[in-house]
Amino acid sequence: MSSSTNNTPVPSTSSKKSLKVFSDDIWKNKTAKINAELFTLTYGSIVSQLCTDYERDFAKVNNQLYSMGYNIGVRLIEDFLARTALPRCDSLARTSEVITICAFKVFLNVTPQVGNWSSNKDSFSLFLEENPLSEFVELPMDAAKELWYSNILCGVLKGALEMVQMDCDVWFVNDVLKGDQTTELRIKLNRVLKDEIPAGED
Amino acid sequence: MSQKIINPSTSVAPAKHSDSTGYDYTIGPQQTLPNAPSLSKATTSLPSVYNESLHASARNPQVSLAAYAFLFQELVTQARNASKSVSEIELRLHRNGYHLGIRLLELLNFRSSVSPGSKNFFKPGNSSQGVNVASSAFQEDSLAQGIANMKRRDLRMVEILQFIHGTVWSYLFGRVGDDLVKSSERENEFMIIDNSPLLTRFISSTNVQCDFFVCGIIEGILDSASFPCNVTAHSVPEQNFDQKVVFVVRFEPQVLEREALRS
Amino acid sequence: MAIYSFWVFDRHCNCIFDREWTLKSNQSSGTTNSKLNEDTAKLLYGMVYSLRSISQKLAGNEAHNEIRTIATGKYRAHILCTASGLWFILLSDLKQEDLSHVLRYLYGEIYVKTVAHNWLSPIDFAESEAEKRGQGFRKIRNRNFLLRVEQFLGPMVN
Repeated sequence: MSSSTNNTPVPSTSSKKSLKVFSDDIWKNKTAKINAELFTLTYGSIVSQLCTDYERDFAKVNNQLYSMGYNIGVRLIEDFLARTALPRCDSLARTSEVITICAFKVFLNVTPQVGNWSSNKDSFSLFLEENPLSEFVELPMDAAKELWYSNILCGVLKGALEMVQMDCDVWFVNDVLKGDQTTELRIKLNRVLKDEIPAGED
Repeated sequence: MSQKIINPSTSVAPAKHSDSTGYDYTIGPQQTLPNAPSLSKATTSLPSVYNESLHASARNPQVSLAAYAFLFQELVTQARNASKSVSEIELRLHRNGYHLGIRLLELLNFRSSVSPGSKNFFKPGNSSQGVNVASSAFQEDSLAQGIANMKRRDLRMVEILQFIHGTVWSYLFGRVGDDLVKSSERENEFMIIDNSPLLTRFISSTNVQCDFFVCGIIEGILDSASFPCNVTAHSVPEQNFDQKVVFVVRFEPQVLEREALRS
Repeated sequence: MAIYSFWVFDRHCNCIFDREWTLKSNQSSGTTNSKLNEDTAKLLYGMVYSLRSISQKLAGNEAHNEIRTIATGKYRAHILCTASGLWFILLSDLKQEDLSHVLRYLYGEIYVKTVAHNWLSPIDFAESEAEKRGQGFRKIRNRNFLLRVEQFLGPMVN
C-alpha cells in the first residue's frame, strides 16, 4: 500500500501565487477556446427567450436561470476537477481563491475579486469587473428592476459547490446592468456535507 | 411572384454621393459611418458599449469551449422542455440562432472594414496616438476615420455564401467551413459543409438536430442581407468525420430572378 | 501489460460501471451484471473504503492523504478518488506500478466528455433516496462511454 500527501501536479503550497500560475497555464495551454462573443450572444438569446416564454415575469426568469445553472454546475465540477486535479479545500478562504483564480479563469478567462467577508468568515462576495455573460448588454426598462441577468452563475456555483460537499447559498447583491457601481455576487456556506457511507456501516 | 422581386440597382453612380448617408435604393447599400453628429451625441452616454463592440481587434475575448458546451446544452434542454415535438425543438433552436445571425451581418462587415492601423484608438485611456482622445465622442469619430473604405455588402449569392463560409465561420468557430458546394440539380440550392461541427461535438444524440441553431444563424444573416431563404441541416456521417454536417441553403425564387437581372 | 478489470463508484457508494476482462464468458460484452461482479464490487469498495480511512487517519492533520495503489500477492489495485466523490479503480498485474495517468485519462477524457458533458446521460445514478448509500443498481449505459472505454483499455488487457 502506498500513498502520498501530494498526489497530483497541483501547487504544493496553498499560496495564491502558485494557484495563479497553475491556472494561467491551464487556460493558456490546456484549454480549447471559443469566441467569447458567441458565448455572450448565445446567453443573450437564452435570456430573451425566457423573458418571452415567461411573459416578462422576471422572478420566474431568475429562477429558471438559476436552475439551468444548477444543472450545469453539477456537471461542470467534474470537468473542473479532471482539468485541475485539485483536492477539496481546507477552508472557505481557499475555496474563494480556487473559485476566482482558478475556476473563473479556466472557464471564462476572468478573475473576480474576493471581498466583504462576514465577521464569522462563513460568507464572502465576488466582484465581477468583467462578465462575459453580460458584455454589451443593456437591460430594457421593465427588466432593470427585477431581472438578475447573470443569475445562471449563482446556479452554477451552487451546483458545483454542492458536489464537493459544500451546501451554500449563492445570490446576486448588485449588478452594473441595474445601475449599481459593482457587480457583486454573494456566497454563504451553510454547512459542509458528510460523504455518504454504505448502508449498515454507521 | 413578380411583386416580390427585389429590384437591383439600375443606374450605377459610384461614390458620388459621399455626402449623403442612409439607404438610396438607386445605389444600394453605401458607406454609412457612425460619425454623424446626431449619432455621436446619442452614443456619448454609453461610449464603451458601442465603441468596443464595433472594433474587432481592440479586444479578442475568448472563453473555454467547455463553458460554451455547457451553456449550449442547457439551451437545447430549454428548447426540449418547452416543446412537444422534435420539429418544435428544432424550430426553437433555429429561432435562437436567427437572433444571432441578424446581428452578425452588419457587425462583421463593419469590423472587416476597419483598417488595422486604427486599433489603438480604442484602448481606453490611450492618448499616445497624436490625437488627443478627450471624450468618448472623439473616439466615435476616430472609429469612423479608421475606415478608409467601407466594405461593400455582397450582392450575389456566391459572394454572400463565401462571406458566411469564410468570415462568419472563422468568427464563430475559429476556422473556415470545409466546403461550399452548388447543387447540380437545383439552381437555388447551395451547401456549406462542416466536417466536425464545434457546437455539437459533445452531443451524442441524433434524434434532435442541434445544428438547427447554426441554420438559424445562417438564415438570420442571409435574411438581413436580403437573401430570403430556407436553411436546413443534414448529418452525413463519414468514416473520418462521423459528425459531418451539410447545411443546405435554398434561396427563394425572387433571389434567382434578381441575380438574373443583375448579370 | 495486463489489466484485469475496471470499476467506477459514485458518490452514493454505488458501482456505476464494471468491466471484467478476465472472465472468459464476458469477453465480448461491454458490461456484466452478474451476481459475481456485484459481490466483487462490494468487496472492492469495502477494501478501498477501509484503507482510505486508515490512510487519512494516519496522515493526522495533513489532509488529502489519498490512497493510490494497493498491492496484494496476485494483483495491484490503482485508485483515483475525485473531490466530487467518484472512485475510478483499475485492477492490474503486479508489474504495473503506476497507472495514474490511465485513470486520469479515463476520468478526464472519457467520463467527463461522454457522461458529464452529455445531457442525455444522467450525472446522478441514484434516482431516489433508496438507491443511495450503496443500494443502487443503475449503471452507465451510454454507448460512447462503453465504446471508448473498450477502445482505450482493450489493447492493455493482455
